[in-house]
Amino acid sequence: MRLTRTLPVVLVLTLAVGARGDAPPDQYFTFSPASLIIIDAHTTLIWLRAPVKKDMASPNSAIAYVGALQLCTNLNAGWRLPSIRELLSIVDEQPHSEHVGGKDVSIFIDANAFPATTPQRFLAASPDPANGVWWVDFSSGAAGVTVSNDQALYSVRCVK
Amino acid sequence: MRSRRWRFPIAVAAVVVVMTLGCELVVGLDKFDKVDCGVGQCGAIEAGPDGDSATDAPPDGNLGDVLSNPAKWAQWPIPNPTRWDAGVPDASIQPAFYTSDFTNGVIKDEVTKLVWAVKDYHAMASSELDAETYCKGLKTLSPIVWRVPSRIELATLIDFTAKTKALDPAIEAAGGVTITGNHWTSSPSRTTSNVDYYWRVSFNFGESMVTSTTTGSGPVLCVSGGG
Repeated sequence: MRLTRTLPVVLVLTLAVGARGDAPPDQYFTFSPASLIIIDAHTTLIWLRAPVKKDMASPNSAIAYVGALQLCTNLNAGWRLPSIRELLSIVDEQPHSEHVGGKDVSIFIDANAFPATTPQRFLAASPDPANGVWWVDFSSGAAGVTVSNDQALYSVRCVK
Repeated sequence: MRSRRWRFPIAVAAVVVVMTLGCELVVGLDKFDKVDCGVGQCGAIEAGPDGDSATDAPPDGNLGDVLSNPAKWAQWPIPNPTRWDAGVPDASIQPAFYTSDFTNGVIKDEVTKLVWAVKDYHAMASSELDAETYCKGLKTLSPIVWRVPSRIELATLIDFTAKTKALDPAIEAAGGVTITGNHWTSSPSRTTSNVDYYWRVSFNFGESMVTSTTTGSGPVLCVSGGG
């Protein structure tokens, strides 16, 4: 048993978890840490807690966007891309800090509810993707639309 | 030889102890109160600062103080633009619909129950306080109390299906105004101790940014109701 290799990994794993969130206690229905979904009691939206995709190149072409859209619809059971308004409803205006990619980043989400949120742009439904792909950036809480391929990376979180 | 035989069990014991102690952190059990979890009681226990000064808003009385001025979260279903037909099942979309009161120049979102004082659109509020003062002073539909909308309240108007502006045309039409610029919200930025940093929402050019900006005059669209 390689103690010297195992213990540091375990310690890093345990110490790395310190996520916090600021959603009011009644915002989400009771969930357990192992829950795959979470329900917002006020918006009645049902979210998949983990992103279905991350580190995706900008889906500005219609073809790339359809591929991104299908990440959710292929799950069936009514899963879809959220609208920009729906994504903004899970932005936590009080960000918390996480250590990602070797540095501390601010993440604008309730990490108790959505623990695996990448500090990236999350894709929203976009009627005309070739001319504008909507997103909410959870490293800043900002929303916007990008009209051409850019260097930003995208994640996808599904809702229904 | 004896020490080598014990090395493995000790290693296992050490890992088990660390895992057990750390397991609470890993699975987030330390976040749960030691009471029965009723509906909505166990999710997101931490509604306030956790004592970590690096991430807590400074408790110096500024508007970003979480305790005295908690952030507004969505309290209603999210209404989506009715022209949204991105190939999704209709049952999963919450369609928006509005009731316009042209006499008073207000429009009501029948999903969120927010009422917007469109005719009283104020293009040049010099500060968030100025915007608040303006909204509080409105007499439209008195005795309704008007206020500056929060970030998420104003975000419910972002229409990503609109062609020339990210806003349903019915809203401007209700008050006969042109809505443009970075609108004040009552939501302070909580990443800086500067009391003048607020979230803003813009509907220009089919693009809406929700971002914190410094002081600078901007329009305000007063709101009432909700929930």
